[in-house]
Amino acid sequence: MVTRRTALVAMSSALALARADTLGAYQRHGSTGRKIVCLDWQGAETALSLGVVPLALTGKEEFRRVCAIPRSAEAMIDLGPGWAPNAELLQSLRPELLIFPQWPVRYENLRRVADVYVLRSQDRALGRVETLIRQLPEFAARIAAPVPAEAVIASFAGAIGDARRMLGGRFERPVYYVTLQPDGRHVSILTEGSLAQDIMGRIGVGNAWVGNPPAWGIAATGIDALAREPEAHLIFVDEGARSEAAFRNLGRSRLWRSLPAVKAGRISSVPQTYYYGGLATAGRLARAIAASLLGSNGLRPRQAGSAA
Amino acid sequence: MERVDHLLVAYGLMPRLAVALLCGAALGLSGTIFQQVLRNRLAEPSTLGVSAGANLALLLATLWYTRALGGGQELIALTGGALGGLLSFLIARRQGYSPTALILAGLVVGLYCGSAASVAMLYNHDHLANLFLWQAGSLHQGDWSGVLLLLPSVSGAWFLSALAMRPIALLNLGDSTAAALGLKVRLGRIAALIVAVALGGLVASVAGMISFIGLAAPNLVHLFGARTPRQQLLWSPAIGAALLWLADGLVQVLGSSGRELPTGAATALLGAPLLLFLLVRRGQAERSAAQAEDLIRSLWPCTLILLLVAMLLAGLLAALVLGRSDTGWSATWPGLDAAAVLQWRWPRVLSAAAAGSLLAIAGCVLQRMTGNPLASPEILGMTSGATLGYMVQIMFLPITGQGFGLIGAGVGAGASLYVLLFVSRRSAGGPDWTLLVGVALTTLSGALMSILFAAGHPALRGLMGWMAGSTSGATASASLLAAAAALLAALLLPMTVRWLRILPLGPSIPAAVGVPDAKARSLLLGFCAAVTGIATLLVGPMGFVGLMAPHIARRMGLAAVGAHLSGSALLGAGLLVASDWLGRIVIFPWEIPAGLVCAFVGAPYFMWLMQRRAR
Repeated sequence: MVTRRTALVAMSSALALARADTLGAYQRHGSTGRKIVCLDWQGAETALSLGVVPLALTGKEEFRRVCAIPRSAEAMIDLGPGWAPNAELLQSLRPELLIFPQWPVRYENLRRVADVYVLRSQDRALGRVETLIRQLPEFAARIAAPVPAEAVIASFAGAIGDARRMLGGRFERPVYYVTLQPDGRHVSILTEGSLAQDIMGRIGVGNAWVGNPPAWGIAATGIDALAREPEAHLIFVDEGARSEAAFRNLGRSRLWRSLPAVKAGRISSVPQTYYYGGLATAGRLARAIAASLLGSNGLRPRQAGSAA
Repeated sequence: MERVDHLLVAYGLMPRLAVALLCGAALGLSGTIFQQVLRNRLAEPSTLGVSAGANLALLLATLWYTRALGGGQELIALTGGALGGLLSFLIARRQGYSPTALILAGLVVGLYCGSAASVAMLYNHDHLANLFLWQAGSLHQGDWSGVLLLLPSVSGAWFLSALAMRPIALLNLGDSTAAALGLKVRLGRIAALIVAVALGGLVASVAGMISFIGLAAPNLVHLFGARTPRQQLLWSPAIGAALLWLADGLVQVLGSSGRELPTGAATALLGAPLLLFLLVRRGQAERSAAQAEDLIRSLWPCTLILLLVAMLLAGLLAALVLGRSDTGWSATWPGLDAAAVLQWRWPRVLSAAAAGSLLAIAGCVLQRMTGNPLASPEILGMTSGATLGYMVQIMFLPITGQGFGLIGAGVGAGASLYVLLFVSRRSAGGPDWTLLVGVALTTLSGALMSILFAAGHPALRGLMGWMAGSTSGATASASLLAAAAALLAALLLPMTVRWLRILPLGPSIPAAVGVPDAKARSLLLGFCAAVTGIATLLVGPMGFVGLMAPHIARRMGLAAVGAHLSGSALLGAGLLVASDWLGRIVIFPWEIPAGLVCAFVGAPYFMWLMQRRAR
């Protein structure tokens, strides 16, 4: 797999690649929408779903891996890391609009390059999905999107409807949605405030986590926390090799083996998604959760070829 | 489901309790051995690069050799820790394993591993939330395997050190005394340290980075009145175990109400205020850990400094003019800047130079004043204070617009300066105790940071670049301000030279020649803190420059105070400018933060210097 890490070593080839990328983007970039640059993935994903291919974005390799992107988006230029976007390259692209995340860190300088639109991802009063939906029409107008915002919202509603129908309106058990740590001792449980919880609520699945929700919707804790709700079903995010390592270590843990969900085989997987993703991610997540719960008779149905 | 509850107690709570007690005892014992053998109050289980090595190994395994993790993380962490310790020993070998050499070597190895870990994390941020928990130290258990690993080894180590009570006591008297009393100094030191290192590595492998216990337990025991090595070896494992048990209990109580925090963070939250309190209550004059090293003194310091000036100027020019774009290399001369790229470059170059020199000056003054080679700006707690202030601002206050960006950092740095000055004045202790205050502050704010990190805030990804020492966000106004501060600091420096010459001589001499001891120290501390704070605002809490630039300057042969100060400042500026340029160029359009490049290039150079000048 060619990644940034390889590029660390083979810098000369990276130079040639960057050049080809740029030229390609200039040639292929059609006339749809404005020339925008996204400084985080939520913006890039949302723009793509609205039919606008950004000129460039930060962290392209990982974006490609974590978010499902259309082939047309391959031409986007990699602008470097999100914690230090390359200002000189950004300026040379002459974008018309920059899409900032809700919590930009040290991006003040970049406001000199072009106008800025801040895409919000979380609003405590509204919840994750509602925040995403409310700002979509305005965002679509700002980037002169060929696809109307209503179409994107409708396709998200369609995904929710599908998932609801698949589950028959309500799933009978509460669900822990977790990421397993490879050490076999820790899990991160998604709680209120996370996108997954919001989606689960919409498709009729209750969260098994109880207690005060952590500020940003992730509770990093020990596997003993999973014993609090004995009736629960367990959904884990399949991270490939990391999850495999976790299961090997968990197999040795008495505590894990005695969890009711594990004993009864009430455990299934979903593919990895971006935690701060947009509506497209939300729709995929809804279908993935429903499919995971439905096909959960066997232990650990694995996604073939998931990211290592 | 009563059975589940039983199992929770039998395989969750009970082993957790046992692991807490064992880890605490192991850390206390390890810290005591370190402090006795290396004769340094700041030495602790992580001093020889052990925790950093373990951390790095585990991180690399998590990211790239995940398969290996399936065999249990203990072995990986132990291997990493052992390699870190071994490297430290190898570097210090030529200098006869002297305490100073060992501490310095360990520090460099630690910095190097830490930077490598930061790089790995910066470029793999989607897996991050998981790693923070381990780094902050966690005692969650799923069975008794951790206890089975720790129990025999900790009791064995304790037994061994009880047998070796006399050699350890002798080593604490200094090399020549110990040798005169018939001890094989090198052999004794290495053997004792291997035991201590193994203990630290074991704890790191089972529970991650439990900070502070290894440092605090021996010092607390000392403050409570245990003076002989025998008392220390007996009591500090007990105090360590009690501390960790208490902290973990607190964590569990909080966890049951859904407000879980990492145990390692809790130990710092608990231990740091305790240590500060005791320092204020019963601070006492201590002998300094300073040990003059035999280093070459250059015959032509002026020539050397001129050379450094020339190198800095050349570096500044190259960093400004040479760059990469999407079409290849380019040289952009001021005045002929068609693409207007210089508006992005000059603030970066200027802030790198200013921050580098400021940090190096602060480091040099601190090392001179305290005579402790471990002294560096970040050890004073100023950088952590600034980091914490910045993080709190980003998370809880909506003002992230133009101009407001750095207010939080300024407030944080100021607050830690106030605590530092307040406590160190009240404690009237020696220079080492002042540094201990700084360490306590650093650990405290580090703990708060790891709590915020574990919460998974979306802005943390952006913060990491700043924390790794990237200059990319430096605004024009901020960099001009820093340059002005650097000039001002350089103008103030000549006034400190006499103090720095006299203060290290001991408590009685300054008064005899008319230097107000306490006042001079406070002023110098305040100076360092202000200087560090400004640099931190620009380039983040950078670990390497402030510590290493003075050491490198000293090893180049700049021995006199004035030459040492100016050499350090020039070196610091040059190092950071070059690092910033390299970081921008190497993986364009990506970036390696200057702070990390600096550690990557500087640490091996420093290791080589240590080898070369050995005798």
